[in-house]
Amino acid sequence: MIQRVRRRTARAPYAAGVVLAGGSGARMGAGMNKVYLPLAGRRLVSWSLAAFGRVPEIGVLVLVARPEDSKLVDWVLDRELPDTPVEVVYGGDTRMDSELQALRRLASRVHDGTVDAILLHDAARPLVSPALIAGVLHAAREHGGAIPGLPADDIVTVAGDGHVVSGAPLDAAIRAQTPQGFLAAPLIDAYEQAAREEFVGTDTASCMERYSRVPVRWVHGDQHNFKITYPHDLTIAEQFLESSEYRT
Amino acid sequence: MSAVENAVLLCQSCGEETDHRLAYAGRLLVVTECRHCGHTIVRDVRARYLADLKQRVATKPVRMLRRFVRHPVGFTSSLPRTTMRKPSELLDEVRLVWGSRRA
Repeated sequence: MIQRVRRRTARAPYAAGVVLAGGSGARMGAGMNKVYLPLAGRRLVSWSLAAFGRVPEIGVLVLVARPEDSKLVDWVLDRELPDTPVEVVYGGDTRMDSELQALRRLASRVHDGTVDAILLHDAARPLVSPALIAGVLHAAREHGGAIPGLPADDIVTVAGDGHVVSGAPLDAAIRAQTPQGFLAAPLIDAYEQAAREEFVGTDTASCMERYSRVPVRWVHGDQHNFKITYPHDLTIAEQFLESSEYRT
Repeated sequence: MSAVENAVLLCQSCGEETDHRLAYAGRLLVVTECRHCGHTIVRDVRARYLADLKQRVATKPVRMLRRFVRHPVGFTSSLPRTTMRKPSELLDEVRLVWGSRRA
């Protein structure tokens, strides 16, 4: 008995992956949420859930979805991810609210030390690879927080009247991607404080920047980890999956 | 998987986030159409469709078995309906892949 308890307490904490399928592409109310569109034989959201499921350090996987998508969620999980345990959280009108719902689901496991890091990912980025997820997780555990991104060497700054202020590339700018990973306890504290102050940020990092002192490290992103925005993004993603034998 | 889906995407022609109609043949996206400005993209997937169909047919027994193991009652009861529907679904796919090129 003592041995069993010891073994349990000695077990290394694991990370949690949170996939956000809340508000994407549903702004006009017609049609389906784009994260449930078919892509190379599976729904968009399945690809990223499957990628998280292949990372050994990810011990729990949470999907945040809209209540009106519940039947679709059940269908997708049963049909496309039968062997991947996924906890579903419904609710959240904004991205921040969706994230908060997921963090509250994980809070007890964070407080008892079972979950030490949390990665939040946008379901509209279906081509995220297990290697990138593992890289972000590693950096988050080492530094406190990690954001993947690609160098934004084609960005210039423009003034309000249309004049180009800076024509030279901004060396320090990156195009942020997801998953964004953070140590779990400060992440939950930051989101609870943001909720109390009704702060609405653009992404996870913006909330952490405001409410936490955890250092955030840039991790080199993946050019394939783009967000499905335009119709032709679907064809590019489909071709990539076909050429990689349907593995991300 | 249904052959036609509708979702909000950003149209590269009118620059608006609008409803789009997306038509699929198996695993391949064939047509996308902006419901606001009518901007349509048609892909020629004829060769890829045949390869994809071959692969789908080859893996069908395993996929059916997997579904049967998970939901024996539901799978068995829906089998007559899905079997009846298959030929017309296949015909729709062929029409989409070959017909869209002439449109």
